[in-house]
Amino acid sequence: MAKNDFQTDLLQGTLDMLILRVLNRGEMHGWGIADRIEQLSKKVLSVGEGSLYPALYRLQDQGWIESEWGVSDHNRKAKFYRLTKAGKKQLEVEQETWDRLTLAIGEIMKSA
Amino acid sequence: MSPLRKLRALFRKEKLDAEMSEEMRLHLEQRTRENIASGMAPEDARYAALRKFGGVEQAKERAREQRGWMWLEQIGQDLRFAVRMLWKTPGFTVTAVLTLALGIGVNAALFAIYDFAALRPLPSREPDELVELRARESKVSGGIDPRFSYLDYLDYCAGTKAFSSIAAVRSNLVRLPDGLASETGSPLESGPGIVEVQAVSGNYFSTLGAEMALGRDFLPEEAGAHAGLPVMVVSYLFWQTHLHGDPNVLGRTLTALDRRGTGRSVCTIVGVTAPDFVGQKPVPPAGWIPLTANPAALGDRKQPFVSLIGRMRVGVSPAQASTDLSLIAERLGQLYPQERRAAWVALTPGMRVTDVAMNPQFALAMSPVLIGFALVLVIACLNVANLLLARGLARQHEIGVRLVLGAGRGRIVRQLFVENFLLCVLGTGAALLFAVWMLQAFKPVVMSMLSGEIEVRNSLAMVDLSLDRRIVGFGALLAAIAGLTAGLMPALHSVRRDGIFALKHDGSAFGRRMTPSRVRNLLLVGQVAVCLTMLAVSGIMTGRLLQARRGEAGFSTDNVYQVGPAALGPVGTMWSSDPLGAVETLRSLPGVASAAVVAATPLRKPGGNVSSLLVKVAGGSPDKISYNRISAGFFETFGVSVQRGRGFTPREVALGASVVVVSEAAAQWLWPGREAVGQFLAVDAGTLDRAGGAGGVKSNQNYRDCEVIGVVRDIKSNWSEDGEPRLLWFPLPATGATGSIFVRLQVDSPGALRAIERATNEAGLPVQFQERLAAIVDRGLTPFRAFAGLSAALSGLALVLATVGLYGVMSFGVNQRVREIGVRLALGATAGRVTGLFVRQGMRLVTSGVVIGLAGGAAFAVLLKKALPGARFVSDVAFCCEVFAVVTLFLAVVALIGCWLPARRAAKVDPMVALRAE
Repeated sequence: MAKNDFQTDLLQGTLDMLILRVLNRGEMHGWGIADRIEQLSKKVLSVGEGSLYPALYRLQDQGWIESEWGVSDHNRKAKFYRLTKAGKKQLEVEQETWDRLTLAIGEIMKSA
Repeated sequence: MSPLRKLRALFRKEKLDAEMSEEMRLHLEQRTRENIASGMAPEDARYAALRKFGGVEQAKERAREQRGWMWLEQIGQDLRFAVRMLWKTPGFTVTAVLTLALGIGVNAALFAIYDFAALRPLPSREPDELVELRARESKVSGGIDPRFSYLDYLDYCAGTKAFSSIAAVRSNLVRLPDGLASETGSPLESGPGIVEVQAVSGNYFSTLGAEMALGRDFLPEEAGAHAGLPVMVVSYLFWQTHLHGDPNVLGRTLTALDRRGTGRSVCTIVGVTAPDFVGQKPVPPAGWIPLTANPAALGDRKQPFVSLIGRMRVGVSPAQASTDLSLIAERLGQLYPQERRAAWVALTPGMRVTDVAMNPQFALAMSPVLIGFALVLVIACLNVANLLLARGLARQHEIGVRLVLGAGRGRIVRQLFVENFLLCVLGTGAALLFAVWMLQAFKPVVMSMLSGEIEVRNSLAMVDLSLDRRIVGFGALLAAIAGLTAGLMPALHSVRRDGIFALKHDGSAFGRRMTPSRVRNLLLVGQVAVCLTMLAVSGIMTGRLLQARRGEAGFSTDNVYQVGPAALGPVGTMWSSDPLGAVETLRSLPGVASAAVVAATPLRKPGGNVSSLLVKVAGGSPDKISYNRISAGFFETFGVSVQRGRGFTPREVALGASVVVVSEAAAQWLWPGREAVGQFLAVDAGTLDRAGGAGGVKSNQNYRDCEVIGVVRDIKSNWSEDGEPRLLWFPLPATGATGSIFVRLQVDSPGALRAIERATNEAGLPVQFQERLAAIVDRGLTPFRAFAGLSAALSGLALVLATVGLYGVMSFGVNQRVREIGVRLALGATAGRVTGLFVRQGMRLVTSGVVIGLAGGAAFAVLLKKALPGARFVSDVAFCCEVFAVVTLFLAVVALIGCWLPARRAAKVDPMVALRAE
């Protein structure tokens, strides 16, 4: 399967979960998040950067992440996002749901 | 997101937007740098970054939409934009708003009238439980007096399971003593000092749920079932206007003189009703007395004289209640067999101003006007839809630009919809103003159409015909329908093409016979077809109405008065026992030219003044025809000229001779091309004898030959389409005749009236002049005139709207092609040739529209004929064809002008100007 197929068709809400997961390791700026998702998925998943920012704002509005202007490694201006307490909790919830879901789907796929 | 944050986001919009732009710009910069670092050329690096990102503006828009109350902000934007767009094209806006205002306004006004007349109940407790009871001969036919005798009333009360109570009402007109009559004419008075007093059963007020402002309701001993006391409850209005709101009114006595001449009664006032209680009419009576206070006729089962109104028990349906009462009626019929007894009790919603909602004849008479109203709305909607479609085509360029610049399709539809919605709101506002104005302006006409008996002029002030919530709601509903049909469709149509297409085909480009031009053509054909259909239908109806109502009544009303017994006369005069004798006496008095009795006064009120029976011409099959019954001297009194033969002699009437006088139309219909006088007509004697009260047996086989002794001019009797000109005149039966008495005076002056009143006193038959025949007829003719006028006005309105719409679409079509005209001129075509081309093309489309429209009109006429079997106006084929021809010609001329004028204007300008024109 071509990796492009995932680009836009990430399950609704999955992108949000991935962002939370990536930010769990520490604060990061927008393109860093995109890079990290790509890298962690061994280039199978590529985030449509156009949908990354709306997702970030959405999470921020929900109070799960917060942002601050700062300076990047290359000494460039960038906006950094980090997980809030509520975000950490949300990540746990989503992690659990995800595990149950994949397990269930996996069982079905194996048995069928 | 919490509402608070949403709200904050709304106000921090600029800051949020700036941050977002900055962040995305930095992101793209970073990516470009990375790409350069990996060896790309700077240009390519930037494009690659942009490609990877996707649409920047679209991403921003998506982010903004998430911000919560974005829609609120966008609607605000849309509204502002809509206002700007509408402001920019004032001609379009004003046309659309006025068109909607007309279409919705006339219908809202009509609804207000209907609501007042038939839907809105008068003030009472739980009005939906109240129904009026009507006696009927059978389930399917009325045929008898809808009232009940008092004894029957008591039996219904005792026997019913479906009603918690039934109240009886009898209306009396009384003359107030001179000191009490108001000088200015109170709305309560139907004549000088004449007011209505209702005799009611003891449970009347409790049944209707009336409250008392002062004093009390009748006590059981005052309004017992078999004997009552002379006490009175007066209406609040009477208390205010005639008793000056006297706080010590309780215990005062009131002397009323019975107008029937049966004497005077002195009543003690025991109560005043609450201000909002008006009884069963929009104008309350002066007061109420116990029905049993005057015991006359109470014990006679053969005299139906009380109207009944009942309150159904909770959970009982009108059908159940009707069956319940009809069972009692059946039982009473077995116990007390008698002529013309109720065998069925029909129920109509109580506490309504009129029962027009239930009256099929009224609905039939109204149908042309109702259809006219609907047509005006349809044409208005169509015009606005076409205007909007045309505007949408003209704005394709603008919409294309916006699509290309990143506007979502949904956003554009919403924006166009908001614009259309705003138009509808403006239209509705204007419509309601228009409706209020119309209601005020036409209130007298409306009231005269609705009222049978109440004196119109005086009671007008009482009638509340204003707009209330329901009417505004109805207007809004119409506006919503108009807005959806006229607004949404064009909005959706506008965005169906993609942006690039719209940019290329901006609707004015030369030679592209693509979709826009096809839509334009369809628009034109559709407009022509629908306008033609509508105009043809409304033309048929209006033409027919005008034709029918232009004519006069057909009889002379000068110097003719209706007379009745004097208010102070002795009890039991010959008025009731022998009206024919009374007429003979009147005729012999000096100053009286002639006098007569007529069973059904022509044009007295809207609805069926005359009934019909079956007749057979020798060798033919039975036909239905209307008839009336009169005494000798009627034709002289009413000034109906006898064309051939003669009228009745007193002897013929007295003996009940088998003779008949026919109207010209009836003669023409029964014996076409032959002399009617001397012919014999077989008449269904059963109907005739029964209707006369002569006690015949009901039979449809029993035909009696009547000799035609005369032919008289046609007169109008009825509020039907043509006024029932086909009419048979029979003599009144010698005994048991009822009718109205009219006298024609030699000189019409107050002195002459007084002299005759004195003379009647001396002759032992005191009379009182009641009303001029002219006034009666005037009241009867008002609806005719109002209908014809209204129908003509509506058709005129439809015509104007259709003309404006058609002209608009035609000239729009040409204006869209101005650039094409420029090209043609530049390539050497002459102005005349170009104009000719456009007119030819336009008229070809108009022709197809006309064909469709005529087919539609014919189909509509056939449909109408099926729906309204009694309506003769659709069965006259020649007349319909005439109307179709006139309407087609008219529309063709309008279309021609609409095509020719703009084409000519465009062809006259400099080709370069035309080419540059957008």
